[in-house]
Amino acid sequence: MTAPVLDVRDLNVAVRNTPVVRDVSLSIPAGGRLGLVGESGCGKTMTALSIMRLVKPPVHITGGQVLLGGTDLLRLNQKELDRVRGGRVAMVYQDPMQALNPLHRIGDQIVEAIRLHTNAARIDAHRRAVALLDDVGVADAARRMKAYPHEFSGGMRQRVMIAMALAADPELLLCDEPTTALDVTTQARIIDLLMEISQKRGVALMLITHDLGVAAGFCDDIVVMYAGRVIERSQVDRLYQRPLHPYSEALMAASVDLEMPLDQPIPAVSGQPPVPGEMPDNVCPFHPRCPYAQDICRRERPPLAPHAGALVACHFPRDGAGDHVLLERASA
Amino acid sequence: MSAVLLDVRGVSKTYPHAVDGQRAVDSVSVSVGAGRTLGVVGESGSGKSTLARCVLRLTDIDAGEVLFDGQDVHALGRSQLRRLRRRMQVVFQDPHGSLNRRQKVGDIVAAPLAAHGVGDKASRAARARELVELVGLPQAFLARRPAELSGGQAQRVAIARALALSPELLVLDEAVSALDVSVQAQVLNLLKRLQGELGLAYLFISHDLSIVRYMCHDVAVMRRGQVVERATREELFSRPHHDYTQALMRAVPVAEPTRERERRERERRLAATTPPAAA
Repeated sequence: MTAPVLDVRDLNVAVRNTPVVRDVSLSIPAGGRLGLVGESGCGKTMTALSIMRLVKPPVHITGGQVLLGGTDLLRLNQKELDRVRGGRVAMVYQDPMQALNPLHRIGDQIVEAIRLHTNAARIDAHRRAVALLDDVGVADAARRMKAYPHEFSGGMRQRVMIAMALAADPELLLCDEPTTALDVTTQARIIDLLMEISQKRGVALMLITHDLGVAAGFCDDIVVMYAGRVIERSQVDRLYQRPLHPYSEALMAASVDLEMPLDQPIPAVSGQPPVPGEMPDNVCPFHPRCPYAQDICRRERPPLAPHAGALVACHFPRDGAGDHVLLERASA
Repeated sequence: MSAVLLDVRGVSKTYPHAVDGQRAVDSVSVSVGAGRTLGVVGESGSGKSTLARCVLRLTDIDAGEVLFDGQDVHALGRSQLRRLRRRMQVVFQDPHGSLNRRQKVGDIVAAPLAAHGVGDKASRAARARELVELVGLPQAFLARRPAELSGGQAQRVAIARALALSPELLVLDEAVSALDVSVQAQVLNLLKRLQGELGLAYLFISHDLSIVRYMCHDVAVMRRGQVVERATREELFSRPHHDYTQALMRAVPVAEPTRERERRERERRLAATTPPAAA
C-alpha cells in the first residue's frame, strides 16, 4: 500500500461557532478518483475549500489535518501555502467565468499560472501553455491563446480552466461540480478529459458532484456526506449495488434516470437536510427522515465504522437485499 | 384524445440585437391537451424558455399564433388577457427569486386572488390555508417568510400560488432544476399528484431528459430554436428518430457503475469517429 497523495484526517470546519464539517476523513492515492457526493449544504464544497485553505472568516478550520504527501497543509505559513496552491494542488470550479479574468487573454492567464510556480522563461511558459491547451482538447491552441474568455463556449472555458489547473503539474486536482453548468452532451466530454488526466498523469482527483450518474462512471471510491459528516465511504460498485446507509439508499432511489418506472411515485424520503447547528450532536443526523429510525438513533450518534467492506455511520446498516420498506413508506 | 388546451402554431421570435438575426424560436408548433403534460426538452440556447415566455405573452412574437382554448393569446385586449391569465400560470426555476421576501407565505399564496379581486380577505385566507395543505406544507408555514424556507419549501409555495386561481395550465420552466435530488423527487411527485387531482395540464420545460420522460405524456425536442422531433413519450424513448434526440439520450448518465462505464466507453468510441460538435 503506497502512501496516499491526499490524506484528510478528522477535518472540522465551523462558520462562527456552528460546525459545518465534522470529523471528515478521506484519502486519495495517486491516480485515484474519489467522489464526494451529497446535497446542498452537506459540507462537500466546504471540505474542498478547506483542503485548499481557501476559507475566509467567518469560516474557520477548527481541527484536523490535511496531509499532502505527508505535509500538513493546515500548518503551512502563507508563503509555503502560496507555493502549494495552484502548484501541488489545484481546483476546478463549477463556473469557469468566475475563475477566469474576463479582461485578459486566456493565453496570458495560463502563462501566468505556469510562471507563478516554475521558473520557466516566458517563451518556455508560452510553449507549455499551448501544449496544455492542446492537451485539454482546445483545437488550434496557438491561435486561441490570444482569445478572451467570453469568446469561448461554456465547455471550452471549462477546458481552459482545467489547462490552468494543470499548469504546475499538480499531484491533486479538486473538481467542484465541474460539469453542472454544462449541457449534457458537453458534460460527457469534460468528464472524459478529467478521466484522461487522472489516468495519464496519475493525478489524484476529487470530484464533488450531486450527480450520481456522473460519479458512478468516473470514481473508484465514493464518500457520501450528510449534515457535515461522512456517513458512508465505499468502493463505487459496492456502494451502488448495495448502499449501506439509509440516506445513500434514499439518494439513489430518488435519482431519476431513463429507467425510472412511470406508474408509481419516485421513492422520496420526506423532509430535508437539517440546518447546520440545529441538530443536536448526540443523535443520528438523518433520524428525523429515516424510515428505519429506532430509539437508539435519537439517543446516540452512530460512529463511522467498518461494515461489510465499507465504512458506514448507522446503527442499522442496510444489509438485507430487496428490502423496499423505504419505498413504500415514502410515497408522496 | 383530450381536447387541445394550448395550441402553438408556427411561432417565431427573434430578440433585438440577436447575432445574425438568429431566431430564438423558429416556426415552433406544439400543443398541450387538457390534463396532459407536454415536455419541451433542449440544451441551453435551444429556445425552450423563450417559447414559455411566448406562450405566457411575457414577450411579443414575430409570427404565428398561441391559442389557449381557441383564443389567440397575442391578440387579446388587456381585460381579456387578464381573464386568461387566471387560467394559465407559471412556476420558474429559482424558487426564492420569484417570492416577495417581505411577505408572509399566506399573503404570497393569496396574492393572485387579491390581484384578481377574488373573494374577501377571509375567504382568501381560507383558500391560502387550503393551498398550503394541497402542496404538502404544514399550516404553520403560512406565517413564515421566504427566507425561512428551504428551496423545496419555497418551490411548493410558488406552486401553491400558481394554483390559487385554479388554472387549467401550468407552465413549469425548469421548475425542479435548482432542487436537490431528494427534494426534487418530492416536488415531482407533488406535481404528478396535483395533475391527477386537479386535471391540470403542464407545459414542462426542462433540460433533463430523464425527468421529462418521467413527467410527460408528449415530448418536443428543441435545438437552436426549432422543434427537431415531436412524439409521444413511448415513441420518443423507444424509437428516437432525430440524430440530436439520439445524441441527447446517449449522453444521459446511468447511476450504475458498470453500465455507466460501458456507456461512456461507447460514447468515447463514437466521439473518436465523428467530428467534434462545436462545443
